[in-house]
Amino acid sequence: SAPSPAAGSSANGTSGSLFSLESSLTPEELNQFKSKTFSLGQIPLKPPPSNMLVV
Amino acid sequence: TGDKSTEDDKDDRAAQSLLNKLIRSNLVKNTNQVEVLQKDPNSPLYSVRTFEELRLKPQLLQGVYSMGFNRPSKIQETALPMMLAEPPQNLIAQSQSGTGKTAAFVLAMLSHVDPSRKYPQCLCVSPTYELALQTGKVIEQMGQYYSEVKLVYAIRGNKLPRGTKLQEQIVIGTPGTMLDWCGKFKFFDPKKILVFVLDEADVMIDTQGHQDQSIRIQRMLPQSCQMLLFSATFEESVWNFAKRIVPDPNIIKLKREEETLDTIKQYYVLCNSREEKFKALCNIYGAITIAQAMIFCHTRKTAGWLAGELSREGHQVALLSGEMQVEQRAAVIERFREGKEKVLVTTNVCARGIDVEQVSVVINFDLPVDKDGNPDNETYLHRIGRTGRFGKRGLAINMVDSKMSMNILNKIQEHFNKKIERLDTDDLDEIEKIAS
Amino acid sequence: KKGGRIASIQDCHRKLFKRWTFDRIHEKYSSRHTTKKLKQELQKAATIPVSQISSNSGSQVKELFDKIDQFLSGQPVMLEGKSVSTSMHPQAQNFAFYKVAEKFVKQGEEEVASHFEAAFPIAMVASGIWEQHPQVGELILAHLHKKCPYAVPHYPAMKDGSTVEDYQRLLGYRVDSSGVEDQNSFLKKMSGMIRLYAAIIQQKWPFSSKQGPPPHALNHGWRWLAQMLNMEPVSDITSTLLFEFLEVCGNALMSQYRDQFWKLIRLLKEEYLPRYLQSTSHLK
Ligand SMILES: Nc1ncnc2c1ncn2[C@@H]1O[C@H](COP(=O)(O)OP(=O)(O)O)[C@@H](O)[C@H]1O
Repeated sequence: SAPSPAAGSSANGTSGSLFSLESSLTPEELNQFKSKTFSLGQIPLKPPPSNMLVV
Repeated sequence: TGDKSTEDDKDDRAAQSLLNKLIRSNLVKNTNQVEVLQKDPNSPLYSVRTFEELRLKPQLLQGVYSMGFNRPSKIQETALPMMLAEPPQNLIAQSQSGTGKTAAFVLAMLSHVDPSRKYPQCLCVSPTYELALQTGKVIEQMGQYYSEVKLVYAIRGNKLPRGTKLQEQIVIGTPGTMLDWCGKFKFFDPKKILVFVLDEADVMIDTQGHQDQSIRIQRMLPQSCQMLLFSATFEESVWNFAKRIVPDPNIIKLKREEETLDTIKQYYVLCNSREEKFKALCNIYGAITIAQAMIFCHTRKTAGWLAGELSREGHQVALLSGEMQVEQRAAVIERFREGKEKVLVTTNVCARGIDVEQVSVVINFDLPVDKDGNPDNETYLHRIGRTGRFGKRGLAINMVDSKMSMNILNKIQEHFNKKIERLDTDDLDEIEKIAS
Repeated sequence: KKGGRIASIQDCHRKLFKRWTFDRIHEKYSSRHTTKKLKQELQKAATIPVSQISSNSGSQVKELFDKIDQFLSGQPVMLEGKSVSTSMHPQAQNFAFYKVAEKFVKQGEEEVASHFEAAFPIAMVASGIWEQHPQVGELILAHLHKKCPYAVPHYPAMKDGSTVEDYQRLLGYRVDSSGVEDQNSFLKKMSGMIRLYAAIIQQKWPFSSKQGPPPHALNHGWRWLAQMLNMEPVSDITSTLLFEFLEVCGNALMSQYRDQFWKLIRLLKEEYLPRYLQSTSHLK
């Protein structure tokens, strides 16, 4: 199961990409990125999408 | 061209002390108890656990923290409250170098000056020009948020026009120049001095004339002036001198931490020639990870040869030997400290002073012997012994290349009653094991 | 769910580790003297240049990179006057990959631990070698995670039936006949390895012919930090690692992830640290 090239992080140590694709995020992850603050214990492990760097 | 043995590498105390300052970036750990002898045994004895308790000026507290000091060192816990007390108390303090004496008296000087008064209020005498500069650096660092306080160096070469009246609050220098400045040239008024510090008293008495000059300076100061004297060691002669400089002193002492071989793994390697020793060294490098290593040779010639061979193999090597000036040596050690070179090849010259944390491996390319060729146990201990500092283990590897050196190794073993294991350097797996 | 993810990362590394493990390679060697000798030469050729990386000069670092790269690519290199190459044995290249990776991590454990600035030149070369030889990168991670589980990040739990010593080893302590390593020395070692990791993810080999981010880039920094904050803090190791990590690559993360990074930092300051202080207050 090769991760899609845009997936934030891949377990095998070879690089994913610097940013996630919005489409690769779950609704919970998207909500975390959209919100003004993160909730402890629920910070997405995938990096933020490049269009969400300004909140 | 001299290839004499240890004789020419013998070093004077001032140079050793300077090297120590230049290469040290950490407190020396000491688990002994501070001994205190109070002038007035009935007055309560304060010691502090935090810098806050000292009620320092905020600018100074900020300076202290920005130097990365979190809490007072052992000697500082006791010395600082005494030095900062009202009325000021005189103090004689002894503890090995690296325990925080300089930082302590610098803080005392900075606390006592009144920056709004533009004349000298604190004097600090050091045995040499270079040592004075080092103390000056500490004053500058600790006073970095207290820029109203100014500093001037009374050292040879710093010539002021006649009639100068100093505006700086702190004067730091060597006894001769300092004496000239207050006696002969009257650049400042000794009667206005509040704090007089004499640093490195044991080094001071080694130099002709310094004792006398220091006493003459002290005699010009007012009764009310706070006298502080520091020394790393305390022989009878230092003690006599101290009593003449500091009337009615409080005395604090911190015993030197004993060095031990307990945390050291010791090995020896059997070789037949220096080429074989070199080969063994290369194998050691291939098998274990050495942050930084010091390699001791008996003669300059061997040290020079070895450094050459190592750099041909691509190692970054620093070479330290007796004929170098202190400044040159300091520069070499500084580069080594910074990790620019990871191997330091040296003769006996710096066996004593150097304390580089990264040095996890010491290699005796030649075993330490005295003039008569007998084992030099003290030097051996000093090279590889640890005081349990940072809880770090050490590794010592001794190269043995003759019956005679095997004999010396055996005697060292007996002396310390600790086994030195044989290591087969032809087997990398074996070597790897000793470091895991 | 999160636990599952970590387990899967670990599992993956374990597999990798197995795949490349020295023992397997070792098995293929006979114990004949000649092979042992060859192995020693390969080991020296692989590890000595890594140990020679220093901040001394850029040209020296480039030479060492070239030497390691050439050797891993099968070209001969000179060692103590002799020529050594991985073409001398079918398993030699794998062995060299393994040893080079191991050496990078050991350099972090030993040298960076006592000399923090060393992280940068070592990481730069590691990143370049990783880019050229991805297997080395995988092995670096495997070695790193084995020696420093906090690099995953992960706080190992004690398993039923394991001894205290085994558990201490799992946590990264050195345990030998003289007992367990002291806390200070342990923290320094872990700091060294975390610093090296933090430097690797933000540094690219400057002479790289490839475009784009380093082979193991800042997204892994994001993941590390996010995962760290998602877990319950554990006494002094947590604060030490966070400090070291942020000191080395906080700035890079900030330029990369902007407001999202600030959200992490705010969470750290406003929720995580108070919790941490509470959970460690009994230690005082
Ligand atoms: N309270 C402290 N906390 C941490 N480091 C300290 C402290 N006091 C001094 N140091 C550092 O320890 C080293 C030795 O201190 P120093 O004052 O020069 O000792 P000494 O004068 O006894 O040789 C210096 O690098 C100094 O910056």
